[in-house]
Amino acid sequence: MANGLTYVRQTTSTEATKQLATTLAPYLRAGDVIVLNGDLGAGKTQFVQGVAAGLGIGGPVTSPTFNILLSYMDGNLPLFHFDLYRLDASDQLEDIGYYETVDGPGATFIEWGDKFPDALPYGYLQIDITVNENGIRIVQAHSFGERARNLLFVWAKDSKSRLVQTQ
Amino acid sequence: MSELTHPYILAFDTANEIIAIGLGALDPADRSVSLAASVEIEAHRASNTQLLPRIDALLSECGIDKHAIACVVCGRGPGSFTGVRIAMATAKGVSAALEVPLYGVSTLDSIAWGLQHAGVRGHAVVVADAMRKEVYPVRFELSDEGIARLEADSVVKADEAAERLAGGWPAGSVAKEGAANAAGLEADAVNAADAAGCTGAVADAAGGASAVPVVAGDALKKYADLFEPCGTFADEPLWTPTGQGLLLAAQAAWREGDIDPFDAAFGNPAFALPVYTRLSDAEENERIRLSKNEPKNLRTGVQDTGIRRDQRATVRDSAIENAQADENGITYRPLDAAHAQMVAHLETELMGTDAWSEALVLDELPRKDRVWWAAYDADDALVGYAGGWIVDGQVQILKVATVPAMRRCGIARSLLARIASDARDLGAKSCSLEVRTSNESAQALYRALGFESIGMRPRYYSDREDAVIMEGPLPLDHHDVAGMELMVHSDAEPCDTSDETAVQRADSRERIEGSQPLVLAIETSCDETAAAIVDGRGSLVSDVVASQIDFHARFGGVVPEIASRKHIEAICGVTDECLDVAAERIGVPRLRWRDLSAVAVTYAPGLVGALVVGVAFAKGAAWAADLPFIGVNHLEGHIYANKIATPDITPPLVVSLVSGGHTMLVHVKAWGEYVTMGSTLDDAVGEAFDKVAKAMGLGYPGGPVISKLAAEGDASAIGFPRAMLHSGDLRFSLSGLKTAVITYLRNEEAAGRTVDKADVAASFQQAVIDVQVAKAEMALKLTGAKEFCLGGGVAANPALRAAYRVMCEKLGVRLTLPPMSACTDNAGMIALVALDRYRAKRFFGLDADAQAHVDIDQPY
Repeated sequence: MANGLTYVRQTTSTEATKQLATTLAPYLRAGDVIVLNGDLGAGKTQFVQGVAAGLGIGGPVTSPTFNILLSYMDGNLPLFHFDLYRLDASDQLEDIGYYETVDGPGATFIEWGDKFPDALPYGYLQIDITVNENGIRIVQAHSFGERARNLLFVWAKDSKSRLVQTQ
Repeated sequence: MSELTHPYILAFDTANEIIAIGLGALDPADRSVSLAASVEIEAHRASNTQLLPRIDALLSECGIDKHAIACVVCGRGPGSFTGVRIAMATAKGVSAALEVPLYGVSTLDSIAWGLQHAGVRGHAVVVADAMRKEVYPVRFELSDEGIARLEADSVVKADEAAERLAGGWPAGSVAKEGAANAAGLEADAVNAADAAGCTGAVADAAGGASAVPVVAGDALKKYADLFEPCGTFADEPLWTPTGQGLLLAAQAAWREGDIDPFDAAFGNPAFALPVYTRLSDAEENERIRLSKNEPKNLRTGVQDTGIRRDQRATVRDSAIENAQADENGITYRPLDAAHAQMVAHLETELMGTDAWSEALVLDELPRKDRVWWAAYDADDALVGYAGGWIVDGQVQILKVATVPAMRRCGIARSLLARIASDARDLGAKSCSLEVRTSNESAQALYRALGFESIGMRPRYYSDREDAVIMEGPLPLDHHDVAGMELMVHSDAEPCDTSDETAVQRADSRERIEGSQPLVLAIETSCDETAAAIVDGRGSLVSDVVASQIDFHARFGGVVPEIASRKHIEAICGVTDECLDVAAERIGVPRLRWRDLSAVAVTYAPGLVGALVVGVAFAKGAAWAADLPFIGVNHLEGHIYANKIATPDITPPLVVSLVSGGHTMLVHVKAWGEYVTMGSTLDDAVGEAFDKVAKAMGLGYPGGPVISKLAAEGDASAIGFPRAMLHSGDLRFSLSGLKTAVITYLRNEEAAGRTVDKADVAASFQQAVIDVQVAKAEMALKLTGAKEFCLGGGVAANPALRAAYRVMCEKLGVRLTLPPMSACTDNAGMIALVALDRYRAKRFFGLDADAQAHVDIDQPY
């Protein structure tokens, strides 16, 4: 956390969340891990849909809650989307090929990653989506490690992202 | 086999994201390997599709015939488990079919040899990526003479490894625990170097603090910043194995006498195995759990193991009670903290003043470099235990004890075999132990296991008796098929070969030709390693299955990593047995890979890591024997299994496929033309049986136990939901039913009522059957098919079979029930599909890969 950056943006609609996510896509590289936190309905899947659109992925992008892992290989960069909610124990991560995927040839988005903190890599970008009483979504991004710091920095510098640094 | 006509060595490695292939000429005169070609290719996670085509291309480029290969060498890792298994399974297939020896060399040694060849001298460290923030660090001393390894393989957190490597050379140790342990490792490392004649190098290293170590290994890609303070990075192409490095490692092993490229018996491909350095996660987590003395009774079922407030925590909890007894009624389980007191008690009884206290035993259990196993009799009383400590590539047996009344039942041997097997996975290559000079029967046992006496420890025991130190190789269990039970079936009557001398070569040739085409099929999609051979008449002349169920039972389900490990251990034994059985049936002294017409394998669907082993092995064998390679869809195999029971079965037909992984209705319009009419939206039927059985504390697998219990219960006792019964389509949903059963059990428990398990089992089973039968009936009406048949393990359920009988009679549809042995996974059914595909010349290329999911409706 020592040198982590934190940026924040408020969005008023799921479309705006998607648009924000789309602006992240061009900066992603193979091996990037993004941990998505947020309550049911906060818009985690929409966020991944936005990234997918930005990567030029054609087919429908759905929630991986049942499948645990959904892979999209037809974009500029492979996109992997995990939902670890249904897993019972960390040893099941081995069974589902989690480690190979996280270290893999694409960008990996992980929902419920905090269930198995030891299984997260040293460096990752954490995105927390919260909904306030007025239905406004607060998207907060925080970097862990050097690569995630660079990623967040260039993403935030993109004026289309409209991210604002917080202290 | 003439040495002169087989002068080449083929070496390859796919432990990392690189395919490295080396081809060298062997000179027995000075045991040298001279480089013919060395290539390194980015694998892009597709080693299995690339490896064989690349090997084939390299041989062509060099103008070398594959039959000029005298020996295969394969990188054993450590590295990516799947990557190592791809190379190892391919190597086993190639070596078995070429009938040449196979040897494993360390991937890390090969990288060190690559550095040495590139001119690096002095300190070098290889840090290979072990994923999950861990690395495999090994330090070497490189000289003009070669490489000297300073420590055994281990797996360490990347930041810890970096810190220790940066801390000094070689005083900073990468041992995982404690100062005492680290000191021991250090001393051993020096001894090992002494033995290798490299005293000078080590002495230099100790004194030459100015030398900056050279760092290599693919972990640098991910953790460059961490390892920067540890030395100078080598050029990136040297971070992964090279063909040249592999050949140099093989040459060194040849000169050391560790391998002999011309000795096929010494290099039996069955013996080559990957280096893992850690157990599967399921086993590691089990160890952590068992070492905690949680106050719970593991024998009482529902309240303790099945239903917990936190549903997440239930998955592995039935481990202990699921262990299955052997034929003597003895159950072997990893030692848990709850039994430490019993061990201490027996220690006092058996070991006198050398006894360990309970605290000492408890202290052992959570340690990652210790392995403890225990044996229990039918009354769950402890009758034996053994413990081992893995230190620098060797497992030191700390304890082996059996209660006097139970000696000579093979308990000590079985305990040692389990310790050896785990120790091997943790990186041990040999085993050592101390035994009392006077204990001759124990010494005889150890000698039978391949141990030799290597010295004495004077007055080792507290009563001043001397100990004999004995050392032996791993593994200790010389089972052909990795300790699994082998089941062998064959349709055909054995041929009369009583007049052995009359079986001339020409006669053999004729008999083999008379049976052709002979297609060998391999199946490794889940937890069964199987092989079968079908002849030209469609008879299975050999059908061999090695079931791993004993290895998975204590986890309450199939553990994919364990399944993959067992497949690679068993694949050679199973295929050898399959060829031998077929030879006997055909009436020839020996059936060789080159006598076959094609090699087939299940390529999908299933556990991808398990499928990969079969696919890589089958491709290797097909390539080496110059045979066509056939891929088969596992589900099509289940459909074909009905041909075994009803040879005249003709499409159109409706098949219900129900197993642990599938629940679907398939319309077979013609052989090879399938339409999935409906499948499950969530859990498979077999999965639901397993989960309900687990919730009820009945053990694993759930199908047989529930069906047995259900026979004694009232199927109408509890009205569990019939999900999707009136959905108007052919889809299934089992998840809700499973939850309903678990909720029912929990509510009854909360209300303080005793659950009638037989009623629950019968009511649950009936809910499943009602939906299965109704949907099958709907499918038959929709298609107008006059044949109905079953496939998959759940088809063995007697109540389901009975219900189908009634339904089919009512509709005037012919019902085919495959024999029980053909319901579960087997290679016979794969061979039947393969025979049709062979005749239709529908072959796969050597770039084929395993797939977890495929749609049976798509022709392939």
